[in-house]
Amino acid sequence: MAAEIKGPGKVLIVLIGLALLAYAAFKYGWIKLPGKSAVPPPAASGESRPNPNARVQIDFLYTTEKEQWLKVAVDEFHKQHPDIAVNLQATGSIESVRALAEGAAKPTIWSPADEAAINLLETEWTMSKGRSLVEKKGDLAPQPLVITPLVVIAWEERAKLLSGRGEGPADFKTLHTLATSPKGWMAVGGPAEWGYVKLGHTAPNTSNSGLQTLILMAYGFTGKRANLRAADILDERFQKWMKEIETAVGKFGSSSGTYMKEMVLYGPSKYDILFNYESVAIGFMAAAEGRWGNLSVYYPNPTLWSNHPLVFFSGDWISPEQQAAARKLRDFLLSQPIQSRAMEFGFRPANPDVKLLSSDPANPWNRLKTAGIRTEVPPVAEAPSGEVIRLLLETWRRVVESPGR
Amino acid sequence: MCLFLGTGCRVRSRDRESRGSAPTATAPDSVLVTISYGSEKKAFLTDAIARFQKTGPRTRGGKPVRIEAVAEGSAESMEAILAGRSDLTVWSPASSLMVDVLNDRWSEAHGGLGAGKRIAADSTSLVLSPVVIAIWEPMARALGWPGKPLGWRDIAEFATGGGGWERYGNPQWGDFKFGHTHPRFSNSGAIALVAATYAGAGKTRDLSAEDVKAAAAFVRRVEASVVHYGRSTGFFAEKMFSRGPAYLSAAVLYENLVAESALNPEYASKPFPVVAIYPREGTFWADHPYVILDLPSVSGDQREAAASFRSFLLSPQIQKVALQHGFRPVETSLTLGPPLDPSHGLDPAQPKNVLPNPPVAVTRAILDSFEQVKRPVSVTFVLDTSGSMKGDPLAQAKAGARVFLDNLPGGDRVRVLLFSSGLRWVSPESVPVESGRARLQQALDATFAEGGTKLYDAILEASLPSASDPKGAVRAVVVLTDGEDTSSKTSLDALLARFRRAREGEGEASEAAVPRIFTIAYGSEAKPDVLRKIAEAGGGAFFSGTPRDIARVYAELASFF
Repeated sequence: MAAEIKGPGKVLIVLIGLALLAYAAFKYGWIKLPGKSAVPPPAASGESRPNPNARVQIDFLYTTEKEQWLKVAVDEFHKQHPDIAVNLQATGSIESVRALAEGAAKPTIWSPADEAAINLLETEWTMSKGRSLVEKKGDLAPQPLVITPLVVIAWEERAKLLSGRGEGPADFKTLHTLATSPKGWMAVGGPAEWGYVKLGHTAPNTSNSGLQTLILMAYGFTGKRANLRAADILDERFQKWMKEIETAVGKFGSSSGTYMKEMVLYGPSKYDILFNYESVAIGFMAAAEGRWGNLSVYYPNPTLWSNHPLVFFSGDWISPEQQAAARKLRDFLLSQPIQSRAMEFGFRPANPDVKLLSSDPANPWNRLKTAGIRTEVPPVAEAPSGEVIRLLLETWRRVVESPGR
Repeated sequence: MCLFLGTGCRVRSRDRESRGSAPTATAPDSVLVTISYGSEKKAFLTDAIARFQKTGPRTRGGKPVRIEAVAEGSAESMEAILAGRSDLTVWSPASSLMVDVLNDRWSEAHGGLGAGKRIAADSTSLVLSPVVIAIWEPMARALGWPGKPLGWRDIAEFATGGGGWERYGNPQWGDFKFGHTHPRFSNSGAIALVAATYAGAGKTRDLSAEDVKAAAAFVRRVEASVVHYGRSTGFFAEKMFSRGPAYLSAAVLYENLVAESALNPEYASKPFPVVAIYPREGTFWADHPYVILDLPSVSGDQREAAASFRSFLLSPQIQKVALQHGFRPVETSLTLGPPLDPSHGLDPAQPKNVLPNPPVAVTRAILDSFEQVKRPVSVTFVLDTSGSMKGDPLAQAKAGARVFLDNLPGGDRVRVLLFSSGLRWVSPESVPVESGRARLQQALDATFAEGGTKLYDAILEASLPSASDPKGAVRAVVVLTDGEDTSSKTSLDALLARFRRAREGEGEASEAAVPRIFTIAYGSEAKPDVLRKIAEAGGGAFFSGTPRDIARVYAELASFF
């Protein structure tokens, strides 16, 4: 997480910083893990059906945001490689770490939402087994499959009301004013029936997009873009301000993809303004129109990025044939046509040979311009140190999640 | 449940839908998945189960899968699970509000401090439907619909303000008759109570336990206008649509049921269309969770079969079927369309706002307060002590009556009338259940059987009000008999005509003056046809029982009040 992909060096620095944090969060319970370690059953609809008689079977554990793209891609892969069967298993990032660490899941390959999850798993695995699980060298080292920035998504009629007043829903100071107004939407000229302003982001201790939102919130209060310090978090005024914003969140989601789906299903009755990934926003745009109307997308300034690494394991449950088959799949996913298909689902390509903008009117960055989707993204915020993130999560737990405990 | 079904109410009154095809139903190794679901999903699930069984479903191990589904009130099924019911694989109440309460109470009862065991952790939403106030279209228009936004507070104030429809220029419609299901049995009833509490507290969020106390007087006034409670929303809606506006002006239902009122040919003869009011303060969503229960009695095969049925229900094809039944599908690739449109009384752009689920502790405080805010109930219990009841039948009927008295809320009132060749009041005026229970039980225990059966005279006598009943009390008569009338002065026709006139609001015998009549045909000699007619005319329900299961009938009856 929190990595700007264009500068590869930065990624590593951020990751090393996050490794310790992630392990500590995992170990001391700042990150909540689901009680069940079993990998959930494959999703119901539109299931890609691998050939049960294929010569090589590989299991691919991945996070829910990528589901639509990967199903389409793997279907295509099966056509080209009838001797390989890919069994897809969708799960949440943190949930998959637990399943892997406990040995409940033994997939051939894995793709969490971001590298923080890799470090979380590595720390846990090394502690118990005394060696590393994740392949880190050469051709098998983790490689980003796709990338996406964090955005703010709002229902068009409600977003218009704000932008008409020169305020943006991606600005935390505006959000704070909205969240704390006892008159709700009426305070900015909306009808009484809209009620209070309802914000949304996932829980930062279960979901990456929620943690990114919290980091940007802290930057929003300080007015900084870098150098977030422990003293900023321990400022009583910040904590009060954060708590006030968070009262406008009805429910913290547990995973980004399902949370966006909730916004589309329940519409503005439950969610007015949501923090989530650009890819997720693009993926649900058409469904939203079929239900409640148009969505508008805004880019917070500064923002944060997620890349989706593909991870190989050195586990003894993986045969050389499986590993070779998985490499074929990885190369296929990074190939130009499949990277282009990823763009249809809202992801930005990780393969630098694939251009984000094309003349194709169906390209989301062309098609959804009116909804606010754009190629240029505001500068990335500096990822805070592990210590600061740890403190931020602990503060959120104390002030927001379970105050008084 | 079947308390408000005019016909076909049997002792095991749950609606059971089993669509096992012949070979799978009898296969010795078949895997049975038993589902308890809220009755508002009945039409959809019956359809979906039939389609699923047609696919010849099997587990990975090759065992045939059979789905058996029971429609019942969400809160009622929750109580059964908490009480140790173990034959269920899947629980699908109307709302995840109930799932939270079940998990909370289960961990309290089984986990102890900090154990946090959740019995209903594996929960997935099947379909959505907002809670609405369903109302006959001309009545909605009289209130200003569709131009004027209406809400919980408007309805509550109309219901409590007096003057009935005359206030809106339509005196011919009589009183404003409002209904919701019983909060102890059904999710929509619980939601109606929570919404009334929000309205009473003048809030739309941050409802606290103090608000519950402060809003009690307001909620009590709302409840005073409630004509009666039902046990499950689907069956309650069925009653509203088939009985018409003379029976209920408006009721708290789910949006899909308003669609069903237009789609189901059974309701074709209703006088007006029904429309949905989406309360302006916000409402609640029924999200229809599909919960595979974490019970030791649920086998791995059952879990697998339940998951595969869940996948089937979530498939785009079946989600489309759900839409055709008036639900909002959770499959996002489906665009909303008919019947979710104004021609079916609905507005897919609504609701604009929700009322947040209060914290579990506050929700429980609201549900617990129901006894204090509901309309007081006065029950007249009428027991046949004719010669044919001699021996075991009377002994069992008395044991059942004890269960009935034990289950009545302490704040309600009760009196007992015995009949054979004559009528004998154990207490001619109603007494509080709390203080009178022991004395009534003693009197019942001392009863013996002899003589004829003055059934109709007894029912007529019991239907006259008690001077000690509190104002506004809901009155009910529960009659148990094992035979036919032998010596009444009153004729059956006269009795039925009297009750029907009262229900239709004609003559002196207005609705308020005549109680609801519940009849129990006891044993093989009873005349179910006659008793069913009396229950129908009396706006109650008919049951049949035997000495073996009479206690269960009484328990079901008592839980209605």
